[in-house]
Amino acid sequence: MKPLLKLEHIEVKFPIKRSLLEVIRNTPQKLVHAVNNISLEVAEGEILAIVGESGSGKTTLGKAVNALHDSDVVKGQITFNGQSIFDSKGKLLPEYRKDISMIFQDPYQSLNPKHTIEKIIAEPLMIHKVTKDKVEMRNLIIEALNHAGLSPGESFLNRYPHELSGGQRQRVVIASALVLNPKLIIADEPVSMLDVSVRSDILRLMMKLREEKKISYLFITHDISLAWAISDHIAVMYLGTMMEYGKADEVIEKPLNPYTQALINVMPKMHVRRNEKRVLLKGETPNPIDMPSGCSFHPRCPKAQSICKNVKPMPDWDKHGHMNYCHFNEEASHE
Amino acid sequence: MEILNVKDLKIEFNLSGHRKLHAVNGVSFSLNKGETLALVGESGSGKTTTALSLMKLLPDNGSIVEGEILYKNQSVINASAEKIRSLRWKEISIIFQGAMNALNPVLTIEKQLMDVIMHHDHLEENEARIRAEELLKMVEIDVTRLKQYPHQFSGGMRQRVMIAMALACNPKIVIGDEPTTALDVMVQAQIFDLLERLKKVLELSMIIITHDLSILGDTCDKVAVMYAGEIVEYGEVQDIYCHPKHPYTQKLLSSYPVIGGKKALPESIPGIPMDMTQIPVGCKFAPRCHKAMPICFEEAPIQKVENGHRYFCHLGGESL
Repeated sequence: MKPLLKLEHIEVKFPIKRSLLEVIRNTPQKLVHAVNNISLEVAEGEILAIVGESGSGKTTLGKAVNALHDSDVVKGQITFNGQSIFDSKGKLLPEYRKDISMIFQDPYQSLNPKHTIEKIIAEPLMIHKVTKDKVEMRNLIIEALNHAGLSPGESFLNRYPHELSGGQRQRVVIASALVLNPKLIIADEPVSMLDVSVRSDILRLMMKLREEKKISYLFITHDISLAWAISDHIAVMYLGTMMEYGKADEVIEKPLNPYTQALINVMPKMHVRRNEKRVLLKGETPNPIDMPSGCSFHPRCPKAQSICKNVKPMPDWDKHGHMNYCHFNEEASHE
Repeated sequence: MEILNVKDLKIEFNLSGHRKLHAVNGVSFSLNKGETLALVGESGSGKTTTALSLMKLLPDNGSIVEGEILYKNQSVINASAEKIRSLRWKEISIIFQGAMNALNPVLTIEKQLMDVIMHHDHLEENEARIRAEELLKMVEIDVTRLKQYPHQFSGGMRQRVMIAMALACNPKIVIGDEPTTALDVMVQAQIFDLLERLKKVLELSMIIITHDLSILGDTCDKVAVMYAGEIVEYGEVQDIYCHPKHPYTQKLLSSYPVIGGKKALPESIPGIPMDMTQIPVGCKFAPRCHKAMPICFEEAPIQKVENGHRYFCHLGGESL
């Protein structure tokens, strides 16, 4: 299948503000290395899950795909449908904004409380000048609401976000993401703020839309079990680097990278295991300003050797398209 | 040894227009020394309200209308204000939800820890400082960080400070209100690991409030599943995981995907939690239950008990 979205060597580095004194002294500019050299592909109708802890750069990567950063902090090539998303002058192609949309984590904060649902969903239509005809616009909005499971859509038009429950709000967010008929949706932790009973409804809705409309998803989450349950491929990120990539089942059942292994090991498993030995990583994700030398995971890695401290590993691809970023790439058994 | 016993607890909140919200409707459970009990349920099921009432920390419009709370065989409900003050923190303490926001941003960690110690234990400043250092060591934070402010700590570190604070006066029972909800999985595992070790060393009893059933196997002995202010099922973690009897528990268990289990989309629970201002006649879960029968809407189920596993359901408890 030909890739819908192709990322090549994406890097996102944010400069840190220097004080006046530092500018005078000409101290070198420090950078936050949020995303380091990431290459990925998303095929049509595919769900790619990006898994990582907070600070792993997964949201930053999602925003880079959505072209929400200043162009000078992002390096690398983003190709959509075989075409670079920037023209020769570095301007974003206007159609790109119609082809992708984003679902944010918190439906309590991502909807304007002063706007009616109709106005919220009409906004993308107005920005992209889809139609001037009021009746047609309203029909598009109602259709999007119905697709998002808020039916009959008419009854929601004049309501305000505060009148809706968390799950309904997230459906409004999905409706406004759908209204332009996007090909790719970037979903940044779309269910982590929702109550257990509502979570699955939203996930099912997203899966249904993929079946019906062939929408691809970039699904950003910290929950590796959820990623396993819904996605086709999983990319595991740590400190801005992609540690492992592969088919969802392979990454979960035969994790190669020590970081992925540790993540899977600590995931709650719904059985009593208080006396079992668990692999707990010590400490926390280091600061992305002073990146560790060599492999960025080496200070916490249970298998680290001296080579890990000094030399950056090379991504190692096997013939099934399973990538491991580690010096030691032997087949590791699960748990 | 039984340390806490709650019998038929009922809590109401007064709302505007003489309406009453029945937050907790007849909750009974007991807690043994060294035991961890989990209160599990969706938002609004009354788990936090139940826990707060143990220390009489309910908001002004809330009151205990019926039932009894016995701590070491002494009534908490009828205790004097003086008694309650010595109960809070010295006997029962709480790790509040949201480690991000529960600390005062303009005071150092040292000051905040010392405040608790000096207020409850009436220690001198020097002694309090030594105790604060001890506490920080206990939760595995470098003592040199005492003089730092909360913003200099990561989320997991702040949660450790909250735990240190809860342990400041050597309580017998620690309540953890969603202690790891805002944290990453790895940090969550570290925090539970720490709590487990502290519990053994200090012989603590714990009550963990959570909506995530999947974490119980790592931390708890007993589970009480709450719905609409009632404990609908109660039992050992192992029994709840392997033989859940109540349809609500069964649904909750299947709403999380688990690696190594069946790969499928999590199940949903249709409908929304009930309006707690109006109590229906029959089973409260019936309108959302996938196994509801006509009798469920007419009669409230009575409790069934099998080897310490209790549940309220008209069904005999067949598996899914």
